[in-house]
Parts: sequence; structure tokens; C-alpha cells
Amino acid sequence: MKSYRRFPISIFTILFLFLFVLHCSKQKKEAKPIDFTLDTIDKKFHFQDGNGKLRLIYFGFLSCPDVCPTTFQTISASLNSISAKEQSEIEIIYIDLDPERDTLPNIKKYLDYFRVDMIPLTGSIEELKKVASIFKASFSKVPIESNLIYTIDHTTSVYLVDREGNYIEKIPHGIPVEAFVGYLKKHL
Amino acid sequence: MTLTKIILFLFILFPALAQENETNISTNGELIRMVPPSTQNSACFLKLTNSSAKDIKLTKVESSISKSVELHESVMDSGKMMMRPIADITIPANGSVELKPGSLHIMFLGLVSPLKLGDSHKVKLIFDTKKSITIQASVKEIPGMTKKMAE
Repeated sequence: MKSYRRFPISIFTILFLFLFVLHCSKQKKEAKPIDFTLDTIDKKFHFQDGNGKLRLIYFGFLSCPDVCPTTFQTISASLNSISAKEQSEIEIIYIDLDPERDTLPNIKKYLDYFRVDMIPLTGSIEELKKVASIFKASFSKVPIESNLIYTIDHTTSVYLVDREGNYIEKIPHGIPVEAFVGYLKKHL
Repeated sequence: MTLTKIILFLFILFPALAQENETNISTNGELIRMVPPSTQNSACFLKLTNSSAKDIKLTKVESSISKSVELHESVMDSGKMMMRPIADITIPANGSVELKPGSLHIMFLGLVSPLKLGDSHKVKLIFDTKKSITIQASVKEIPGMTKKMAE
């Protein structure tokens, strides 16, 4: 008698779990396209306005004389090695993580040096943390015993977002230009 | 003292003296990284080779191109790059150490004036042996890495 009564409960439990799993996987598939708003020169920048283009997103700070310039040189060399048509289908976004020291006009001047169009963005630390979390990127301000006073530890990958605004994958730091171009061509 | 004795004495003394005046350190590939004019900082990369049987430490660097010069190291930890000042850089006995992007570097903080491509600047390297050498490093662009460099 006892086991007979338990039977319909277990059927319901299984059915419930099945529906729950189905619901979760459906939610994952219907992940919302990426969107965020940050400051660019004299206006707000809305990520979704760039839909239709393949997006490259990189986080950094200007006081960094080592890793960041290397990435910019790689991006610049890669973009300059593909056709003008391909270039026009790509939007490069640079998100500066040091709003305390770096101003947007300075960021723009810095980016202009690398002979490729890049959109300079920054915001408050809270806004930046939010945007970084979208890409599972992270950064932190770390005081150091240096005349630099503090540094910014940060993830160094370049993140790729497709034309519809969906995250694709990340390009690791320090790869050769040929390999970087390979990533771009794969998604163009 | 006879002349032969003097000559013999000098012969023994001279290599010892020469050794005394040398740092036992040689450098190559020295360059100062060209950075955009709006940047305050730059870095110097080079390879240091120690020809002596003892480890030698690079403890200090001086240059007039920036307000201060420090030794730094970039370390990658689970995809995150961290740059930290370090007290010295050891050049192993009969070995060498390479200062390169994403690793050890000499950091120029607060450039006095914007760097110009091709310009050459004096950089004084001071070692724990109390000896120093002054090298000439020219301002160069580090291009996007090519396959060869990454290897």
C-alpha cells in the first residue's frame, strides 16, 4: 500500500525535474544579446548600436607600457593585413579600466597612434565592473611600491562578439598576428 | 728588479686589472619601446649576459629620459596580467637573462618629453658588484608579434 502511494509522487517528481531541466536549457539558448552603456568622447556609447558588425573588445589602462601596447600593435597589424571591406565589418572597442588617471581625450590620442579605428570607452568603476563581468573579465586596482603608486591587474584577452550581439569566444594574449587574423576570418 | 721581471710582473697584473675594471656583463638587443605621445611611461628591453662564475644582480637603472626608473616584472596568472616592481634582476653566472614584453623590464616612469622614433638615449645599469655600465638604447617600435617572435 505504501509503495503504491509513493508511485504517483515519483512520477510527478521526475516530470517536474524534466520540465525544470528543459526550462533551464531553453533559457540558456535564448541568452539575451550583449548590451551595455559606457562613456565615449562627449556622448554615451550603446553597445547594441554596433550590431551588424563583428566586435572586438579589449580592457586595459594607459600607464601599462608592456602588455597593452603589445595587444594594440597586434590588433593594428592584424587589421591592416585584411581587406578594407573586411575592416569595415569590424568594430574595435577599447575599455579603459583606469578612469582615475586616463581621460577620454587622452585615451583617444593614445589609440590614434596605432593607425586603426578604435572606440575609446570608460566609466565609473561600478559600471566597468558590470561590463567586465559580461565577458567574465576581471580587473582590480592594486597599490604597489612604485612611483606608479598603483597598477591595474586585468585580463588580457580580446573578446569577440558576433553581429547579433552574442558572445563568441576570446582571443588569448600574446599570439602572433597570423593567428589573430585567423580568429577574425573565422567569424567574418 | 730586472726588466724581464717587470715585464713578467705587468703580464700577471694586467689581466687581473682588466678583470677588475669590467662588469663581466654584456648587453644586446637593447631598445626603448616607442609609446604614443600621450603616454607617461615606457619600458626598456634587452638581454644581459654574465661572463663571470658568480651571479650578478642588476639593482638600479638611471636615465635622464624619465623622472624615475624602476625594475618591473609582468606575471600572468590565470589569464590576468599583473605588473609588480622588483628589487633586482639576477643575471646567472655564465648565463643570461632576457628583459622582454610580458616579462621582466626596465620601466621609465614620467617621461620628461615624448619619445621620438630612432632617438638614442643613455641608460646606466648599476649592479650589486658596485660596478656599472652605460649603454645607448634607441627608441624602437615593437611590432605586432610575428610567428617567429612568439616561438
